[in-house]
Amino acid sequence: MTEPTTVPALEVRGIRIDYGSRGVLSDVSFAVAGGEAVALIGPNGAGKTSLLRAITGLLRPRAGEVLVDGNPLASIERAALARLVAVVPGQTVVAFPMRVEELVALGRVPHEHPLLGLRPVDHERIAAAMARVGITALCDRDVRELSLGERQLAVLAMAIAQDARILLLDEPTVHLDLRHQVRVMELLRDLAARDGVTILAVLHDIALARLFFDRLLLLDGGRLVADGTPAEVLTASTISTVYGVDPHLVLGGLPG
Amino acid sequence: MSTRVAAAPVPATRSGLLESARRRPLALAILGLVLVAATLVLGVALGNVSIPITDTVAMLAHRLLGWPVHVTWPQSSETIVFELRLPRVLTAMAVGVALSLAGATYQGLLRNPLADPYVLGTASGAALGAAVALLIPVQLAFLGLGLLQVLAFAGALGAVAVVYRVSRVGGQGSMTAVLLTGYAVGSLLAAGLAMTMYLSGNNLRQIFFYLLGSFAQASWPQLLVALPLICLGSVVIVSRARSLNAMLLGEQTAAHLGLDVRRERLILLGAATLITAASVAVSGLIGFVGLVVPHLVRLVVGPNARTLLPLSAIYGAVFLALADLLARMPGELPVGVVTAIIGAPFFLYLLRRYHAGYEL
Repeated sequence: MTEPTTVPALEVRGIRIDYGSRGVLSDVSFAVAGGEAVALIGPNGAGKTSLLRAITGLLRPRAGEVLVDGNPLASIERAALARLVAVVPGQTVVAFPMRVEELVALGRVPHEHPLLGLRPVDHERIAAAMARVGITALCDRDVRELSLGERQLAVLAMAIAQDARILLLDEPTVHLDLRHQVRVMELLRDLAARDGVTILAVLHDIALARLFFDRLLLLDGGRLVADGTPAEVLTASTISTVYGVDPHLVLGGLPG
Repeated sequence: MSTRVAAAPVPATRSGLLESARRRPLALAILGLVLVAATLVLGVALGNVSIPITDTVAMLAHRLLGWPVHVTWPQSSETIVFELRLPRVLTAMAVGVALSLAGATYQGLLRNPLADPYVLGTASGAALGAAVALLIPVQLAFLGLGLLQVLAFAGALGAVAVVYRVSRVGGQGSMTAVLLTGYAVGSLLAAGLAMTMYLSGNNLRQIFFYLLGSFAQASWPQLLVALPLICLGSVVIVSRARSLNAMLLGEQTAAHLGLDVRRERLILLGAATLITAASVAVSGLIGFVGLVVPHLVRLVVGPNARTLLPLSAIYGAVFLALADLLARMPGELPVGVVTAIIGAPFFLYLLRRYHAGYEL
């Protein structure tokens, strides 16, 4: 057991991002504790992906800062950051023939020896990650032959092989069928509960977010408009103002 | 959105031989090095005047390794071997290494299986430089190099430098922008080349030979200038296998895996361009090596740059030295013609056989 700590695993403090004169995010602040799983939701153009890019250091905010384990992002080296934070994109394009095992092995890039490459410990982590996701049987298959769902599981295994304590996901279930959506969501919950991985997932699907996450962040027009349990965040009034649709479509029941 | 192209039927299991080759990259490397040695001996022994293999081996052992071998061959054989054929074979090997490594690097950086060492304008830049050099009546010599080599080298480097500068103007400079700029700059330079050829009159034939590539002019002084550049660039590329691996899934993923993408891209692009420029300066434009060799190796051992790069280098050397041997058998064919005749059908066969449905 790690000793209890008050420093959040991930903290965003007053972030502001502009693209030219257009504001994308303004004054967004929240903290995620170690081992907590949080879904980031909001309509298209709310700034979800920009926020994720700021947290991964790909986008420098105009104001505010991101802290990982209490340390400012700017003070952490890229290579060191990759050992702390893993990112799962929504879609992965594979340009060359590549076996599943070779894809998962890319998760070891931040850990492997720069010249000698993978060592036995890396191969153990790769095998463990594939087993964790349940794709060991696919290990010799070409990634491009897999279904989108299987491919996303392979990418997830790659992120797990990265051994990072924080996992950021950008719409990890987009294009997946229901079975694979549920499988990915259950895996994320399990990673948070059993391994203490901190999870922040951008999700489009409010129903999935509501079912599988205990805490939601709702972003709209570059502002954080709600932060709390699904019941607190997804009220009839937030849904109609933020998404502009009849809340019954989301919360069940017949449209009024 | 990704589009699948040319998705051929997938063989359910790969053949046993190929599968066991994939699992033994070290054995493939050793086999390759044996082939390099064999090709070296053959390349030196065969030609207009054939020299017995035993004499060739004895000569090489005597002169290069200092073995105490009893000299039984005529002095003329030794002249042919050491002044004509050895620099030629070694140049072909060095250029084979360079083009294969540069091809693998460009394919990886651009994430484009159709990329080759010439894709960013090196070919047209070098060709224009060479053509301009042939128009200038002054004979300049510089470290044993003619004006042609110097201008071809400068043209290749200059073309990529322009492509890189121009494509970065829009901001971050994505590799797609670099690729498209490469095509644009290449087309512009090709127009310049066409103009130069139109004006060149009697020199047309010489320009033509340069465009098809040849090792007929290979010499020690040229090799000794090109070799350090090729060695330097090759070492840089092979030692950055990890960066190329990280870029397999794109630059954003590479950044997430802890890579300083801009820096690594510049280093790899610079090294690949340097060795390509050194190659085209001494041998002209030899197509297909840089495209086919990395693909063949990738089809056998997979995309991991740690095995892909060294094996591409070794088999690139063998491939180009053998192609040059074939080119001089019937007289003196341009070696670029030979590499295309061997390379293209073999490449097509492999694409069909081993499901290379690339996602572009």
